[in-house]
Amino acid sequence: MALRKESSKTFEVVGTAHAPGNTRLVDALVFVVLGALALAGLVPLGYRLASGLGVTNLGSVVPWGVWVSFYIFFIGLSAGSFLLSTLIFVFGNKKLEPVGRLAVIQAFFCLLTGLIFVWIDLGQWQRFWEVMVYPQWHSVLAWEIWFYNAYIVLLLAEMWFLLRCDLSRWAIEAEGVARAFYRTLSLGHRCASDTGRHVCAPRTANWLMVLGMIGIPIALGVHGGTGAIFAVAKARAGWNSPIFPLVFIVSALASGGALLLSLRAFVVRGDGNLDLLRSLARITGAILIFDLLLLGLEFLVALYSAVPDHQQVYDLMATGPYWEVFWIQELLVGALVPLLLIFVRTDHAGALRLGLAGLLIVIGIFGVRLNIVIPALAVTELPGFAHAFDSTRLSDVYHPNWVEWLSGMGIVAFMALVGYAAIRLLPMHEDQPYGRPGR
Amino acid sequence: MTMTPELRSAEKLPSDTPGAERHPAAVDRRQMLDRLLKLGAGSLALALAAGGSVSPIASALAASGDKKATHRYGMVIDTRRCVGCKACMVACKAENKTPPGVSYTVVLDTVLSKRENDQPTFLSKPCFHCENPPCVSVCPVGATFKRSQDGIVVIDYDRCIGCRYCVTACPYGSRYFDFGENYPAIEDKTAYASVPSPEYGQFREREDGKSPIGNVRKCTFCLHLQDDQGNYDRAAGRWPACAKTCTGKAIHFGDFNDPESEVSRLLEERQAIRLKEELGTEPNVYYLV
Repeated sequence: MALRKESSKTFEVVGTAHAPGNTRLVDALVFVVLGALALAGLVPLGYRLASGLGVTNLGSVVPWGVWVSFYIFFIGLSAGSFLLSTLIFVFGNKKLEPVGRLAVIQAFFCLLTGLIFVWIDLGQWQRFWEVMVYPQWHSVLAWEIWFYNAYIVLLLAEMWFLLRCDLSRWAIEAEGVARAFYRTLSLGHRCASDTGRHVCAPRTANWLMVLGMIGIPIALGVHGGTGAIFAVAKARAGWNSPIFPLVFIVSALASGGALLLSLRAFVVRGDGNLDLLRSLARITGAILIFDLLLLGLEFLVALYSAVPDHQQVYDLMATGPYWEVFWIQELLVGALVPLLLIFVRTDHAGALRLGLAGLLIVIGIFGVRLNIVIPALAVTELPGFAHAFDSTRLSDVYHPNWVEWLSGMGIVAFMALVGYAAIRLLPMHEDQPYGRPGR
Repeated sequence: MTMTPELRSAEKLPSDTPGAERHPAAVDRRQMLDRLLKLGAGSLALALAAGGSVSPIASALAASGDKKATHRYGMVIDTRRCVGCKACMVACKAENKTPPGVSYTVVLDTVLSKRENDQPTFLSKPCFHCENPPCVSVCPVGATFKRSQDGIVVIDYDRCIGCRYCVTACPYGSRYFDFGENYPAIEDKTAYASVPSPEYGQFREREDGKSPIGNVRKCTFCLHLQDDQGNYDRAAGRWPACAKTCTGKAIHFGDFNDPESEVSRLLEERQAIRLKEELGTEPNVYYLV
């Protein structure tokens, strides 16, 4: 908090877009609520790490559950927001420029969150390092590990280039702890005056364009590859389709745009730049419609061809024990309502309406993730397998238990807390131009 | 029936234990590590040489391996002789001491639609030890592989990270995750609890937080019963527990590389099918229907 007090002065000096006034009260409230949720999740998480996966409701028929869903959900959020940021840094979109920083920072924290989830899902979580030391190159999962590694480095580099000038100026203007903090983050970059900034700015834009261009194939590999983990599993009719990696990328873009929209509307409020929000909302809404089209195609092929084990997956989704995830979370809350919120008289839409639409799409895409992972597994490879012997571990009905939900909530709350702190402590101002040099 | 194999394995244990480290069929850890390291170094070059084509790891092992494929073990299961008694499941459990929720072989019973009053059809189903095992190629750390010398698909419990990708990749439901649950006899620390599982000749005692708890497990064709030449001996009782115990003599086990073996002759004389041929996995377990 001492840090906040000192840096709040610099906020004014730099003229960031933070809304003054009751910000501090809101910050305190957010910290208390997220902190309490994170602490509540710590207990079941510790319980799980100490006692193994036996404390979950997973089994040998449905071996992946809500944690793997969270994993692909957050990796998708990350890749989606990064790819949207390249609209600005690589393709020179001017309208979205103000959310450039937010998109990259969001991509970074979502990636970390996703990796935490896949880590706690390992039966031998202490052996996670083996994936680096003993890669088996025929495994898509092994490819992904290296995509994730490359992606982390890329995001760190991009964040540094984005923030280095402001960080160095804040380091000079701030005192005490804050000075040391910003000095450390700036990694020795110095540009004190406005002149310095003018010198740096075009170079930064250049670097961001290069990194963005390198990053596009990496981000596609990160999430398209995550989709390929599933798509190559010929044992699972619901996954084994070349459309799957594409579905992953499209839904990632929708969720990434949606989270960006709601964070920009509710957390980094900035000035009353409604044009930005409306533009972002339209892009997100259009991607979501494309995502729904792909969903429709999946259903069409599965139900029309009616190959039993393929059809069963979609039957299970629509009419099985998870029907409400599909109809209510995915289609009603996650698609119909937000599309109405976005596209009905968009020119009159306020921040609240658009931010809410973003939040609902994010919730809906989590439903998409649950429906990717669970129903395809719940259709057993051979008929009658789930009843071959009497064990809950052989059940073809999986519902996450409280350990899985609470520890998931705790991780999300903790990472949201860290991300929120980052947004509040880092220079988030929105008026830096990223235009391509020479334009 | 349930006690006999169980008692046998308990009785023979004292004589086996001292030599456990050098058990003929033991998957020697150093040897395995060596092989895996070779694989790790070689696989990248191999992948490049193969022009990025994804060939199963078994071929990589064979390329760098020192042992020739001398055996190709498999089964021929006669569904008409299977009465659905599930003795194979019990014998497997007793032999390998698998925990609740893990059963290396299962008997699937299916009631044919529109023939509800008929007898169900039974299908005894161990791991098929496929020629092209999809479970092996997905493993991110190479913890599971097909042994070049006999085609048995095994898991290195000390390498497996428990990600369960292989469980999702097996088209036949032959892989199980060990969630650490125990039968009462183990939970209550009865004498039975101190009898280790002979799996892989490793004789691991079951302990909380120790492999194979938190690992994926599967049928090994009871490879711990092989001698140092990799041979089984039916007369001596060194034979996969399910095949040894089958009351209807429905499960035939043997070496497909040996044209005189029972399984080879059965394939020649009878019409056999394999499950999900369309996936190209080429199971080494055939069914007579």
